[in-house]
Amino acid sequence: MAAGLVHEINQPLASIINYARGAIRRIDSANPPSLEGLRDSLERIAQQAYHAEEISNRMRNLIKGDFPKLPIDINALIIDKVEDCTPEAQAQNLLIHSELDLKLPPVLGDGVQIGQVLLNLLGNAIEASSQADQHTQRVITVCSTVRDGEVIVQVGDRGPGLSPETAERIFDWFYTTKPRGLGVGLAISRFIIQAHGGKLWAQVSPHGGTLLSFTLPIIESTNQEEACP
Amino acid sequence: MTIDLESPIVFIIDDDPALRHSLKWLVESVGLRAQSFASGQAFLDAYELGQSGCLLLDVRMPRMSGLHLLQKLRQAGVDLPVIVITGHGDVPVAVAAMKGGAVDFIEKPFNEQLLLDSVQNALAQDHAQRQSRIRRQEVIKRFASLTSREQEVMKWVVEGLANKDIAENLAVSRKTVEVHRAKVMSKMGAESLADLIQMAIVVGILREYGEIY
Repeated sequence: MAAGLVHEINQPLASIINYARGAIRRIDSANPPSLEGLRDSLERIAQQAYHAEEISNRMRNLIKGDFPKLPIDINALIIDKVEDCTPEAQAQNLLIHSELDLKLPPVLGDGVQIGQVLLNLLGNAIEASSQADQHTQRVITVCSTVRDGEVIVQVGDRGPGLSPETAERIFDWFYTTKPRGLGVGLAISRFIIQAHGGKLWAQVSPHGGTLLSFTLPIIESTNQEEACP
Repeated sequence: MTIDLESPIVFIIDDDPALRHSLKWLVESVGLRAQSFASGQAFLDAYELGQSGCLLLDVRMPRMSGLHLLQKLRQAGVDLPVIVITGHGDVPVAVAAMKGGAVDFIEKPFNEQLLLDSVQNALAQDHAQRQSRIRRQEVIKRFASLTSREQEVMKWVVEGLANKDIAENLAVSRKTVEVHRAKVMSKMGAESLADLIQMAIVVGILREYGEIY
């Protein structure tokens, strides 16, 4: 699964292709429509191009660190995204087990972007689990904790896992182990987390499989001494 | 929505307004009728059972909602062929879609010719299913119009008994069996014994070689 932003920009692009192809087919048909009949599709192509531009501006703003910084309830976000992924997990007979620290302080950032990171990590975990052998426990774990003035979120699967070399390469742009993946999901995710002042990394999970972790600085904790007396 | 068995409709379900509108525009460009819906529920509310066509289902995030819809459609008795549009490289979703009964899946971004070909195939499949169902119902109706004696004769005939043996079994004359047999052939509209055997399988009085339909 490519990250949300890539998916999002593909939507207007797909619409543009449909409108253009639909118009070309009409022009080439035995009864070509009037110019007026094509006008609406051209108008919509323009609208969709604007929409794609808006999304790309959002990506650019993210790169510049110019994105909304509002308090985010990470636990609520996790619950929401786990719910989004539950039907797919169930279809693969997978349980998503959440261990959330109920005293988690809010972090500052763009909830939409962080939500996309979570979806990406969960999507990868589900996909990795589908490659696990039959005797492996069908579970994905998501946990949230606080440590050293940072919120830590971890998504662990029991898939085939990573070699130490691939553990770092999976964050490279256009690196993918999937037959037809784009190889941008984790690169974008790491980018988003870093733009929020956090870190995203992969390691071998204690249960086998892959453990992906990210940190985000908590609001009051610009000073670490304060957060950890 | 009025039921029109002659003219199939391509039903497009996509929660992205621009995508469903543009898909409709594309499908209509080859002269097909299309209707679009924002959700599976909106489609189910509007769909009248029996309307021919096919479904074009975009499985967007949250990822499996479209696949849930596949189940719901089947439960609601909708038997239209379903084409699932998946994200690029989303193999697990594609696999789940096929397991869920989709006839095809198309990856985004798609080549519009492939999509339109897939739609045409799905419509052809829907048409064939409908024809076969109509034929089946007709055969069942004809069989019901036979007298019980004629039904009995038909069973023996398709099991390969000669008129002489049937006459013996039923304790009637050969001539009588011939009359019944001729009646069976004409009432069933069968042109040959092979034809009659096919019908017997449809009706369920001959199962040895498994279900053909």
